[in-house]
Amino acid sequence: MQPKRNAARRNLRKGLDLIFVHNPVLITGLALAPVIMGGFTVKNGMGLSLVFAMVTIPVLVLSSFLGMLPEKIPQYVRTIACAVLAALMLIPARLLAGGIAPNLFDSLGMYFSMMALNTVWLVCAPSCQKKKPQWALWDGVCHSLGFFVCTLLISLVREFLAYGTFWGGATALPVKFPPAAYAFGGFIIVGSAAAALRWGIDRAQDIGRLVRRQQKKWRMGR
Amino acid sequence: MPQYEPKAPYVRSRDSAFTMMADMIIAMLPLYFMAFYFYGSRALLLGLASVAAAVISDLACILLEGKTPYFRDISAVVTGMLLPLMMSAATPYYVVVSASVFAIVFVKHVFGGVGQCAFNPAAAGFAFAVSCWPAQVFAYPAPFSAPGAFGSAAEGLSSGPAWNLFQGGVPTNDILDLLLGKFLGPMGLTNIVVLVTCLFYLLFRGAVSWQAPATFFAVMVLAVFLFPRIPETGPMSLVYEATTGMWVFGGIFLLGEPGTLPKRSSSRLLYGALAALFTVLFQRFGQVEQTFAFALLLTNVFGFTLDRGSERLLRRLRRVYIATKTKRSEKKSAQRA
Amino acid sequence: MNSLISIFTLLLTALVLQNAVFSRALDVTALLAIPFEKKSLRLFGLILTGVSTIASLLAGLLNPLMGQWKNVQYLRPVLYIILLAALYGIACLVLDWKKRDWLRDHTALLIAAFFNCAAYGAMALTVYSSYNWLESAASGMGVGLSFLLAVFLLEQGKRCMSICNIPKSFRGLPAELVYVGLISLSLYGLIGHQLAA
Repeated sequence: MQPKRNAARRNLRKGLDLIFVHNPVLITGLALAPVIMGGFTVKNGMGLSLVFAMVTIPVLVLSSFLGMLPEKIPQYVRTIACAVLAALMLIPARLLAGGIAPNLFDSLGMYFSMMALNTVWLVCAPSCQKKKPQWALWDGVCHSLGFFVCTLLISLVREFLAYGTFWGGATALPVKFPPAAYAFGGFIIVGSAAAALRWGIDRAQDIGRLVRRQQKKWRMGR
Repeated sequence: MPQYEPKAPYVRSRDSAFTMMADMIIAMLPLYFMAFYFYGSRALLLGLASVAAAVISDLACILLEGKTPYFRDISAVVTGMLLPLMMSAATPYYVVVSASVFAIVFVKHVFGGVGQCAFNPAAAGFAFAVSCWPAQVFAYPAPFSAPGAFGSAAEGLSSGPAWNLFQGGVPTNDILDLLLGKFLGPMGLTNIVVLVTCLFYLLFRGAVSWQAPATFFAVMVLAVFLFPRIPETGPMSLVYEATTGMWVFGGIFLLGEPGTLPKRSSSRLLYGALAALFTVLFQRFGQVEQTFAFALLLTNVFGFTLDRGSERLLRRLRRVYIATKTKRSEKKSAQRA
Repeated sequence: MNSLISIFTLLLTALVLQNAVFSRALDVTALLAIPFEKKSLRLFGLILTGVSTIASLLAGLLNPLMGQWKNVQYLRPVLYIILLAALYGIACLVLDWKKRDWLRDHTALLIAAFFNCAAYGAMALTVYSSYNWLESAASGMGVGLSFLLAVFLLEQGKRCMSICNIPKSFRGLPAELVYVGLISLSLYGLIGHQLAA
């Protein structure tokens, strides 16, 4: 019973790490293209996160089920099945995205559909074949959360800098930096965000180490 | 901070980074004087604002990285002084300040600080300002119009002869005015006489190596002379392009930046030629009035490669040379025997 | 002759002005994040060029057939991705038959090269710019070649950055992103920011 519980705890922990410590976009560098080119307003960022979740979660679960098939079936057939499911998931995603903003599909252009080929599921699907469906689901949810958090923050900053607005509403920013919405601004802002996240994680780990050392000392003293 | 480790005889070299930077600053003072003469105190205040922003952001970055500040490093001052010279004298203060903060934070310190820049900070800062606010950077006040020192000075601005050239037309300015710098243009780089004097000063002091500017100016002058982009004769095209373009200023002050310049003299020659090639191409096909800064950024990518390439080439040549030499000496000894 | 010139212009435009990486940010992940070796990154670029050429050629042939449907723009991406999957399947079948060992060693590379936003982007661009089949193939090839150009430029950058004393939190991916951003800024002088789609 104990090893099983430990494995579950490890899986839970691994999934939660995907939100910050192993963030799929900022730390691992997956699915960068839509964030750089599409994520320049909060609405776009929300739309991208929605499509990401709609595509990644089912595909990872499917690949976990595909892992149960006999080994005779070659690997590429499973990849093709995943890709077809990802493409089909674009249709409900497009219907739901209309709820966020009616013109979201047009304003994101080809970057909306590009989420179906995001590198997250391409990289994680093979490893998910060895996982149980519930843990593949948990992986997908955590990947989506990590993507959502970072895309939301980046698109918020970019919309604020480029247009001086927040969710389309005006704010009191006196100077606007239009390149924040261009490709090169996207590269630089995403790069800086990645550096900032790394810096934050390093500091958090430093603090954690310090606390643990103090705890140890305290225990020894007692 | 000396750029190289002191070697065995421990003779103090005159050319430390500090003296080089100080020479750059001294060379820029006449440009600021001309800007003050044409546009009044706003020119100086823009320079001050830019330098202050650059120095403060430099200090902040150094402290954030956990290094100790080094007060003989004045490269931030140079970057800060270069930026406003390339812009209009009526540029709002926030443009200059954000350009220099961008140059220092995202171009200089991301790649490791002084002497290790992958890109030229001043050129990148200017390119950033152009991409953000092209209307403000390229709208010039008339000389002697004295734009207000504080606040915005957005009245009575218009585009200069560089815009005419960009549109494929011939500027209507008087030639003497063009040569003296009395026309609508960036505040620091209209007077070509002062610029050329600065070049000779820097070359004489050894603050700028001669190789890169030599090939750069040679290729630029040839290209502008032989293939004018306006319906004019070669010499006139040269006068118009040289007086109104940013490339003369850039070739003097930006191209020779020691952090991005290749280290071997042969590759410096190639580097200058490459920069000129990109500048001409960007002028022809670009969407911006002053393209030198953008072309220089692209050239910076190849600096390190040129060093490696010329190193390899020279090594191969040396091998061939040694091989032929030994063959010849063997022949001679065989003949003697 | 005219069509040759127009195709050459298309290739050049795709290579420099609308570079897949620097102005559209396609496939930055393969360029920066996936730990390919230098040689396999070039191989990846070559395969990508082939895939994007064939895929956009097929897209260019399919586009006139799909023109009459209602709501076609919502179904088109699905069809394109299924097309890419079919291409991948054919390539794998052929390789499985002829060169099984090579296929086993390069599975990840092949997946990344076929299910790839640059290949998809090349297909999507044929619609936005309403190219005919020949122009589509040329633009697809341009996308692949422009990725190879970006690989070359970034190799120089990586060499340069390897001797720089980059701050710890910027080392690796962030500094490379900023580097690509600054190259993209330099190309801004050439194109401004107007881009189709």
